[in-house]
Amino acid sequence: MSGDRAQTVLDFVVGMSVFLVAVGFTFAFVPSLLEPYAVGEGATVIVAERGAARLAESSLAEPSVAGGTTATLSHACTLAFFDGTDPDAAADESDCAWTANADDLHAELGVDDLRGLNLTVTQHGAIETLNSTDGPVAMRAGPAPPGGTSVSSASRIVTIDDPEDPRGPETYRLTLRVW
Amino acid sequence: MFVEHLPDDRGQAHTLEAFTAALLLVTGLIFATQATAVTPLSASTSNQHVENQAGIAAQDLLSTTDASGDLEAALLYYDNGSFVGAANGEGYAGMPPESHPLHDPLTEAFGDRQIAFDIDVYYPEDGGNETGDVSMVDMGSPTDNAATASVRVALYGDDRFGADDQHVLSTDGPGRGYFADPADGDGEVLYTVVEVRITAWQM
Repeated sequence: MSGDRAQTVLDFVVGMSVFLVAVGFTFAFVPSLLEPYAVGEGATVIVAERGAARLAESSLAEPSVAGGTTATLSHACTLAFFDGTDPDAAADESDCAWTANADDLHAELGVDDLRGLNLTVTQHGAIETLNSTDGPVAMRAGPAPPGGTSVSSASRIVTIDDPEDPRGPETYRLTLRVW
Repeated sequence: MFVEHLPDDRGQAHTLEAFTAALLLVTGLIFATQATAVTPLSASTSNQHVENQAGIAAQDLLSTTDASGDLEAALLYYDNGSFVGAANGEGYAGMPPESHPLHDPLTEAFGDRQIAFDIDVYYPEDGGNETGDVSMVDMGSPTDNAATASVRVALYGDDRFGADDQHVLSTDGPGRGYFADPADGDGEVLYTVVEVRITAWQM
């Protein structure tokens, strides 16, 4: 080996590996470094909470108590929301507060189209149905959440009083997932 | 190689490279620690979210059952010094039995999610000078991250209580061991106003 070299190739290898490992470690363990360039994770939690609150307290709530926090859903409005009734017809018939039905959840909640939304109303983990004259309507909207991404969810405990159900108001869980 | 000290025209460049690399590393680390406020002691947003969700569920549960009348029915499901079906003591040690008006809502809100909860009922005593309390559900001591929600419920003199609604509050209440006494006088119209408080926490 010639003696006029201050550093050997080995030195460069060691130095480079230390540098790369340090950079990799920093970015792996401090994910918020990329925050300005990526869609914020924290925002989806807020979107989920606000969306669920809007649905439970205003959009689907009994018109008489809209704006309150009773989380009591109107049977007519909820049914119309999930079976795709025209907003104007629903507002005329049942005084419903929503302006876009389950087919266009983004418009109703004022959420950017790039975000994914999934709304379900469940009881004991199973998606529940409401009975209408055209058969049962499953209370779900939006595509299933993807497996690979981080999904935020917010839940509300709601009741729906089916006038034809002798058991009285049933308790359900309204869950909104955002990704 | 360390023995020879021949004149080397690249030594200074290598030293500069080393300084540059060191500077890059240090600035990188400083930037990393400045750009984030997360330390092992920072509160996590996910924990806060779980707490919020328990609190919202408790508040929703109280609002919906208060609106549907189940909450009042649960307060009147009391006979001979204890809530109906309680194994020992005044209240339930776990999820109330299926006959209890709050069984289904509580199962939906907390039971399926492994969230523990206490339900306490506060009522005026001694003509409003003191506050008494009775435990409807006692699942133990809440953790530091517990969330609470409460609502006030009015009980009227003609409300019926007992396992089969066999007693009338204003006439049988004090005699049949109902937990609260009339707030004022004989309680014929308004018997008393109680506060129901749910404390929920992640197990």
